[in-house]
Amino acid sequence: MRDNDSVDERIAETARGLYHAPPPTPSEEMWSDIQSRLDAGSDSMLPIGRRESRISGLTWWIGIAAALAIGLGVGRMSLTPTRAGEGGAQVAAVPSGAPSQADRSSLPYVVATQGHLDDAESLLMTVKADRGSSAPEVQTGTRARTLLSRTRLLMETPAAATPEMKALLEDLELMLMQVVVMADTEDPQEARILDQGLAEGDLLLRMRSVNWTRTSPARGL
Amino acid sequence: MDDKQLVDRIRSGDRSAQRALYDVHVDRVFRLAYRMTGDDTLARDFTQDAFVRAFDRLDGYRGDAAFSTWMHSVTTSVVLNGLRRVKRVRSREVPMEASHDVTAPASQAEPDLKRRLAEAVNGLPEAYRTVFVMHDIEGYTHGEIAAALELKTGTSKARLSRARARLRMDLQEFAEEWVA
Repeated sequence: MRDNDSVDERIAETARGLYHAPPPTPSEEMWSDIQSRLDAGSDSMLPIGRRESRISGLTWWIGIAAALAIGLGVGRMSLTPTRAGEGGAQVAAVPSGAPSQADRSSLPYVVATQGHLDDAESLLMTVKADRGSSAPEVQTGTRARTLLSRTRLLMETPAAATPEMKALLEDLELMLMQVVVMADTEDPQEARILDQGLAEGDLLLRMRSVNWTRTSPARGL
Repeated sequence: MDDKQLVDRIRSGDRSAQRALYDVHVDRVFRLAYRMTGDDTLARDFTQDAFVRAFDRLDGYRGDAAFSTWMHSVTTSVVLNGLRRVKRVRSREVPMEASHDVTAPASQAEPDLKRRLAEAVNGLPEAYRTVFVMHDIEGYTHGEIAAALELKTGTSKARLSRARARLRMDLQEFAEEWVA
């Protein structure tokens, strides 16, 4: 333990000197850019990373176009029943218990996240059961990698809009990454870290006890 | 003049207080951004974005915590989200295997320890790396990290412990010399 502490200390000391050692802060240059942005009165963020700016801009436009297309589609669908009503002149009152438009549009994310958490729970249960087994599941690494990609995709959607779901997906990402690393390396140290995570963490419990009403993205936003 | 007084002055329309507040915090913000990215352009962009966002949203700062805590929360959010965006963009441009790390690659010409250390730290999962960089390299307390990343202090400690375990394993060939 003392050896570990000593090694940790040396790693930290070495990292302070060698890992991405920062140059002197270009304070004046940055301030002039900040000031001009503040003077422009815009609270919009400049594209992050000048080298990425064109692609970032393109991504935004694609996103906006997609949102508009979906919005138009949803709008048309929601107008159809009213037109079929009494001349289309009245606006129907929304019953207090009925799902709002926002609830309905977030439903695909809720369904996708529910299915994803079920799959992830199943994998983690398999991993837990396999630990120490002489015939572990051979597809574990592949399944974990697929679920890891899906987790990261969901983290970028309204599914991760609430703090609870965001934290849950982040912890799941870490656990799945650990499973992937262990499957790739079969290293005993990695296996110990994974065991520790499965034993100490409350991840499985949290996955099972998600309150889908409270974590609905439309309500959480 | 302390941070709270400067914030009050900014809220009352004093633009010179923005510069004063910037001067107090810019070093630490830039250092963190640089440590996280290893890229001068990104570090500058993220630092600027963090301050612009902080000044734009100063009404959201209620004064419950120290301004530095709130500022570092804004900074980590800008840096981590920014890095994810960069990673997504780059993953479309290079093979997936090579896109795991978005930080600057270590040069082959650099001494072995430096290269191996960079590989080991860059190879950590983002959540571990962030806590390691903040705590062990930049000297943030677990309380500051927990506030900035919206974690429990225990989670920050657990992540640091796992990060250290991974680094010990990855750098074990240097360990004998260090222990001696």
